[in-house]
Amino acid sequence: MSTKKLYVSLLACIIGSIGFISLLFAFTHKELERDMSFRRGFLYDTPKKTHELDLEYNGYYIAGAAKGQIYLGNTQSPLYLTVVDTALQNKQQIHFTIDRDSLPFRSPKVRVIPPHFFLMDGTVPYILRGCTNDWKAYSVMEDPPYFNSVQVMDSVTLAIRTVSNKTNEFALGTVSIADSTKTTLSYELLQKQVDGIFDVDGTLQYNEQRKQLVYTYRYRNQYIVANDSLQLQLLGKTIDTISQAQIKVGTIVSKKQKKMAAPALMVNRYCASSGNYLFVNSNLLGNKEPLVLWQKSAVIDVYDMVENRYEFSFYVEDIGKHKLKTFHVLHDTFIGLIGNHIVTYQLGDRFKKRQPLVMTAQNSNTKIQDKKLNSNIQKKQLLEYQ
Amino acid sequence: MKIHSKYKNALLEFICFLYILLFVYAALSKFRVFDEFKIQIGQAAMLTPFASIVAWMIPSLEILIALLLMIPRFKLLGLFAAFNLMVMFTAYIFIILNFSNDVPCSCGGVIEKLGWTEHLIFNIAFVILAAIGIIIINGHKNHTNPKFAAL
Repeated sequence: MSTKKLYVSLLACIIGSIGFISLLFAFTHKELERDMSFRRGFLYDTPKKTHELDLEYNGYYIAGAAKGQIYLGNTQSPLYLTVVDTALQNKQQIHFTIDRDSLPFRSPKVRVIPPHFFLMDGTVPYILRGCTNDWKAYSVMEDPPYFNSVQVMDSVTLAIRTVSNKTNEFALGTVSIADSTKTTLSYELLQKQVDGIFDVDGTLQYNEQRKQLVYTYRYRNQYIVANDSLQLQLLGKTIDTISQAQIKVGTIVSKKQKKMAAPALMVNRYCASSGNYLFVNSNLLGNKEPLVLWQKSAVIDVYDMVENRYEFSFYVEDIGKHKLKTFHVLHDTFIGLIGNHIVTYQLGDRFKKRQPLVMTAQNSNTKIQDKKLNSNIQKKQLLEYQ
Repeated sequence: MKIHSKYKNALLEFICFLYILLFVYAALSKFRVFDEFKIQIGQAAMLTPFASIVAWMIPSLEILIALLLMIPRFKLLGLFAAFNLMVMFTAYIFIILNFSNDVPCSCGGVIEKLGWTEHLIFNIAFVILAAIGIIIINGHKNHTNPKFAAL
């Protein structure tokens, strides 16, 4: 081979190889799929961003909010809390103390429910509680159970999600910190579809006003509402039609581990609950929603948990390249963390005065038609993307 | 000229040795945790439909290429194959990093510990090495065996 020919063939190899991989990518790459089966409703008078504050560091999560104060924990400094008011004007640091020299911090979570606050780690596990007037936390449970998700229900009760010893699957439960024998698990609340671990994953929240546990599945269109004794109150549906978790789970025998064996279809990223309402950050693009908006914001769907119905949706804008990570609703204030920023959106009384507005799934077509007949007022209120 | 080609020969042997080491190591560490490797491959959206075939194919190919590089007759073929495979790996990483949301690594062993940029540099270095090897062999053939010059 002459040198020239050699270079040509090397170049051909490069082009061929890159071309092959590019084609493979092009044919398997799934564009953002639009779910044609449901359509969101947006208000003309959509909730607006009221405040924004740069927290300057990352790693924040919302530890609680009450009486006009937002408490932010940080995974990198577990013993510090940042307190900001709901107008995001004043920021202060709280360093709380613990009743021992050191604690392992594997996955520590701080929760503030004035007048108490908790430091918990379900992977170690430990539960510390203190008062918000002196910020000193004491260990309150001798032998706490392991858990992988936790919310404080009141000063002596926690809601947890844990792996049941009996079934080796996820179960929701309550823990009484006064008495470790009073750990109750419910095997009925989480409904297994694939493996009982990955498919039932979701967000656990506690609704203080209604004294109810709310659990939104990540991979299917359902949410569970249960009372504080773990009795099912409502099995609600989110607006999409993904009723079966689309995940594939593989087992690594050598490590005795289970892992997702294929990219999963995530339905609901995260949720929060306040009053009668549930706020869900959905991952699915609905019919006729503008892609431009979708790409630079996160959508929040609002549901009425009492009436089991969809109310409306609104967008929470990205900041830079960061999307909404986590959020909390305090009365009529939506608090969101986006990258290093904290934002608030004013919800006002939008959902309280309005007539029900149904823009749900295919299976409720009749409902949509009914509404179309008698909803001139709604049409005015509702901004549809035609 | 003779000393020169001696160096070239040594360099060629060294390149082949590096490749054999890399591929045998990568393949064995994949086979060692094969079920995990298969799951990792499945997690990459672009490989999901062919996960089990790809999971078998990649380490097998790596072993095969290592064998080719050990046999003098097939050295050029082996280097071409290695060159192609490495370009494909590089293109794959580049595409996943820039155009896809997931970043699963399935390289096996300590190579997994590399960061993505290091990984790209590492791969590109190996691509260049293979190219150098191919050029050396070709130079040899042109020199010693004029019959092949027309090829």
